[in-house]
Amino acid sequence: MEASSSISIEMIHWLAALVVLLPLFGSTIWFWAKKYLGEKWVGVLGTASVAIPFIAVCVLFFELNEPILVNFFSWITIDGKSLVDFSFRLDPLSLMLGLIVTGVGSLIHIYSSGYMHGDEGFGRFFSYLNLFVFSMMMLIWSDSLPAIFLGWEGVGLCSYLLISFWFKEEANASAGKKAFIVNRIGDFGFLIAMFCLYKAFGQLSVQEILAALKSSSLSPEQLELTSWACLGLVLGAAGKSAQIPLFVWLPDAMAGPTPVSALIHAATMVTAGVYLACRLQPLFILNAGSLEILAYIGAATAFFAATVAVFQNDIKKVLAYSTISQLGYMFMAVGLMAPTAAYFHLITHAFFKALLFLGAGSVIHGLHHEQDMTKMGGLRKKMPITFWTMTIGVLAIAGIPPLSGFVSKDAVMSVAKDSDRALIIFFAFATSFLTAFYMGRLWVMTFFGKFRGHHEAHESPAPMTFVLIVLAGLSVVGGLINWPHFLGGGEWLGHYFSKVVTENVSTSEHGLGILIFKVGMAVVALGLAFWKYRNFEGKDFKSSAFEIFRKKYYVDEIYDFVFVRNLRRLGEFQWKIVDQGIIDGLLNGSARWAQNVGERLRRLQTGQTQTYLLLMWLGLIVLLVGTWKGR
Amino acid sequence: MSFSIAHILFICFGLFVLGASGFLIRKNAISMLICLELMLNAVNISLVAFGRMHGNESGHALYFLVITVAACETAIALAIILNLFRLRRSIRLDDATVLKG
Amino acid sequence: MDLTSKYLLILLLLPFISAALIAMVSNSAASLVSIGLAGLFFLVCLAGWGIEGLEYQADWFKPMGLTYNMRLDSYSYFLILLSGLLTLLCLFYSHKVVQKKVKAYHALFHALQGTVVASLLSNDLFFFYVFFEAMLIPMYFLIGIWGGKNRLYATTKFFLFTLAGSLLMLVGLISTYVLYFSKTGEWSASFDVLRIYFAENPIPIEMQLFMFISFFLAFAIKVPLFPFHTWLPDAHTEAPTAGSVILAGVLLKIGTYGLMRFAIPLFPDAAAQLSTSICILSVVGIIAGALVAWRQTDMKKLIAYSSVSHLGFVMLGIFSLTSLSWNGAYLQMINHGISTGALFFLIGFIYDQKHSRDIETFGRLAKVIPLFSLVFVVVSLSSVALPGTNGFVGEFLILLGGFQSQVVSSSWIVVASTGVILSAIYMLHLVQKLCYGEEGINSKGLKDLGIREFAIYVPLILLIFAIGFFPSWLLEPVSKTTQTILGSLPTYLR
Repeated sequence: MEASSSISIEMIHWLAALVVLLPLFGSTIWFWAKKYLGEKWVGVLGTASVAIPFIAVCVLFFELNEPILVNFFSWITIDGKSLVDFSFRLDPLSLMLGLIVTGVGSLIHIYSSGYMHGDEGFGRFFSYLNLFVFSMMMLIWSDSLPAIFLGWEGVGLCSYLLISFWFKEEANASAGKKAFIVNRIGDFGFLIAMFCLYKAFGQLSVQEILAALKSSSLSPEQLELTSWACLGLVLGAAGKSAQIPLFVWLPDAMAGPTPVSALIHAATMVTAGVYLACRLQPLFILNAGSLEILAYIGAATAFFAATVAVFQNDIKKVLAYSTISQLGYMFMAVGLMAPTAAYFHLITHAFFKALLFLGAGSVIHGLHHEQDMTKMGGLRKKMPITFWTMTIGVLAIAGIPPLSGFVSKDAVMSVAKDSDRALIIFFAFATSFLTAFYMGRLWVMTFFGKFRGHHEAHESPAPMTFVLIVLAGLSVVGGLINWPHFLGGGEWLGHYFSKVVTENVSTSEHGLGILIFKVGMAVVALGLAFWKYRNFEGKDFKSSAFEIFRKKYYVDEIYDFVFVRNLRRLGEFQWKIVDQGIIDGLLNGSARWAQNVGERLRRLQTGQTQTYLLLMWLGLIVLLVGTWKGR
Repeated sequence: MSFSIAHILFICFGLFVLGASGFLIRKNAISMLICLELMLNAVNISLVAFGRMHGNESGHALYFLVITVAACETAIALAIILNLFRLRRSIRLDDATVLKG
Repeated sequence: MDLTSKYLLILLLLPFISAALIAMVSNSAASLVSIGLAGLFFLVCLAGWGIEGLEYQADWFKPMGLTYNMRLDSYSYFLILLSGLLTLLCLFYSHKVVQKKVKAYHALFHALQGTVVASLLSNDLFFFYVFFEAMLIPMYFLIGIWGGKNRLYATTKFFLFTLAGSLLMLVGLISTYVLYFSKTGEWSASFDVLRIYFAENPIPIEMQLFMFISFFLAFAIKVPLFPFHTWLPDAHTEAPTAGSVILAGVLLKIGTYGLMRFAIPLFPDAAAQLSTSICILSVVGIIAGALVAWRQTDMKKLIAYSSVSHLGFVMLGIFSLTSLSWNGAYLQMINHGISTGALFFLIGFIYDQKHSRDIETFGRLAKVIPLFSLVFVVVSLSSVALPGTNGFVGEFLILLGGFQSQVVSSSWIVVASTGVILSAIYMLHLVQKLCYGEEGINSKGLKDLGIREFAIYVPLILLIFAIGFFPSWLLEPVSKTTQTILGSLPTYLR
């Protein structure tokens, strides 16, 4: 047992609280303070709200040797017992991702101060970004499931707010709305999982639940509940991490400003699903079926998203589908019981995907908001820093050694190969080829050939290029954190996580042959892209046979036809036919019936004295006869 | 032929029915009053007949009571009919249907 | 004079005295006097914080066992507090917005509050019944005189529908009353007496079902539970803004309160037997309410249907018959009052300026009136039960408790949970139509929120987050009362 951390418990409490609360505090200020502080100070202080937490997380990362539970106060207490706590679990999983979130987050804040310069919503933007960091930290650090859920929905909210940031366009608002609602479907899954777990274990704390799983044997009822919980969690993760069937929000989310796409939809929020699966791994291990589902969903998503990415012309959409695809890789790795590989890829992906998105943002910014690659070209001379950093990003994601992307993708693909499942192996390798191809296509269409656009292009300002360089550096060296054994490395990340996750240790040998095959595949794909697009004129994939790929297999159209339209019809039916027709019909009908009866009875009142008298006589006769008979 | 109470009662009944049906059929208010008196008188005769049957004079006494009350009631009725005439220029009860529903 | 013992009497009489006082002043001063008196009442309510189990006994008609028994526990207390706050905010809002018959308006509002407080305090069945019906009268006038174009139809429908239910309850009430007499030879309508007696000598199940259903129908119409809800959209749409707020915020809760306080404790076996059917109706209400809300173009109708959906959750929580879900249900009653009250205030704010409720005619309000949009989005998030807002705590507890229920299958809870998706759909639809996109014809020239409006929204928003992050101040006293009430139910139900 190593010695406990060298800083006091109190200090840990303070640091952890600072990390979470400083961004929250910041978010309440920037949207109104911009008027008084000016753009520059909002940019600096807004970044500091995230950079200071980054330093705090670094301190915690280096000082804490053992997982620790930091308890603050109880959120919901019933009958004296705390149901939900605000407490943080600081262990390798959460600290590592905390570093990424605050670190990459700070970089993107710096970038945004350049990208959003002059936008009237500058202050609002930083408020939302800070709120996002708060929510994400709550998500990764919380120990109690509803507190995780607070972060979970919080990031969904920030996603909604930031996608529809330029709300004057109806399309942006709709994209944000779509993101929130599709995420909510995942949240529904999360909720059901929480209910099942509570019913099974009487606990909502992850630590307690995992302990319960470890200790005693479980009753069949508990096992059944945990399997439902796993399904719910899979649904939740699929929603958040844009996997089949809930990925449809991510491409539309590109309507938001590019820093948003980089931070939320590449580096952090979308990784929440993967993170949760790693955290709750013991739960999934109990239900091998759910792991299978995760693996297949991941692999399938990776492949199909990659096929769609090949045919997109909007630079951000290519990257969006690329993100979906890479997330698929992570899911696949988790499903195949290799959480370290998944997490490793998560980290490197954060680096190079953020780099790619921010680079794309730089291009878009430089071309005055042009996003169509068919109108780009030859930019490598006009935007050199962007070009070189993007090149590193492209090489990383394609899997060229010794960049970080190569190391992590290799780890993931090895796991896939070890799984001995033909479909998964096919998906994994085919995706890798396609990835290299479409990224190469993006690279060449944007930076090589003739310039096909209208405006004069220029390089981006310092805040943006600085960040690009830093991220490029990270993309290069990022592989070192888990440099594999067979290349002489120590697999530090694997060791770091070994205390908290269970792994399928890879048994097969890494032959040089397979390595060369993988790298060769990437090089071939890149070369193919270069050769095809180096003299690109402006029209691509003209044949209408490709429409199905371009239209992402018509998934959106199918969803609209099957679900959205029918829900609308159901609402109309419920309103017009049931509420107004049947229920109100009954009500108004009964009122009318009462009126009718009244009308008829009214005829008895003729006003004629003699009618009344006649009735009196008849009544009297009836009475007399009655009494006579009764006697 | 000896008179029994039954004969007198038949006469009363006949008078009563005449009065009642006339009351229901006639439209003229005075005619209705006359029929009303006819009904009352029929009942009065039967009262006297019963008195005779029991052998005491209570029937006669009651007769005087009823006649008095009938006279008062007739007076009031005539006053109402007079007012009705002033209002409606007619004493046909068909025209007095303000309370029609 | 011992104030504590007379506290309940003060609470009961103060609103009625206020109404009488307002009737005596002039039209121009009536508004301010009324706000002052409402503020006074709210302070009196606050003074009672922390008091548990205060009781007041007085006889109304002793030979027949009718009393003025009152009791204050946390179920009554927080609803009274909510009523006090909302009435104060409503009257504050109505100042200068309501121009005609100002005196009558304010007096009626106070009278309404008086009837609400009386029915919340009552511990005697007939006392409760009288004020349960009496609530309808000021509301009838408030909608009928100061309402929108179709107000007479709406208010008559509201009045007759609710009255029909109440009369059914009277039948059940009298049969319970007479049953007690036939069994014991004594007359009593006091709730405690009846409950204790029927706990020890259970009513045969057929009779219990009949009595429970008669009570249930009255409350179900009030809540409103599907399919007895159709009076709500009309009443809410045609009512004046403050009327909608108080109707949604307080009056609807008397229905659920009556179920929790009277119907279920008196007839627990019937409640258990019918719980699944009622939960199914609640779930239908949740989903149908949400779907219809989505299709509305009238803002007020949309929020009205959202109320049906939200109160479906509350009914689900009540009839799951677990202490967790009861706590959640009660919490959600308070939460709904706050959030939906705020929503009606907000919508009323733009309606009173432009006299249009059509969502298609507004747009881009986030640019035109940004403060309004900010508040609107925050309140919408509360309505959608975003964690961190009050709505989440209530809904979460309801669903979590419902899942553990012994009388209701958890599949229904799963179906009900899809409500979180549906509520996001219609609420974000509304937000988008109002705040984003193109400017509409009614967007121009709208005034943004001023000091007066902030005085109304700030307390509500503070409450939204206070309950959202620190619900214990509410949950602790409430859970104690839940324990007391549920503890009195037969053991097989707990």
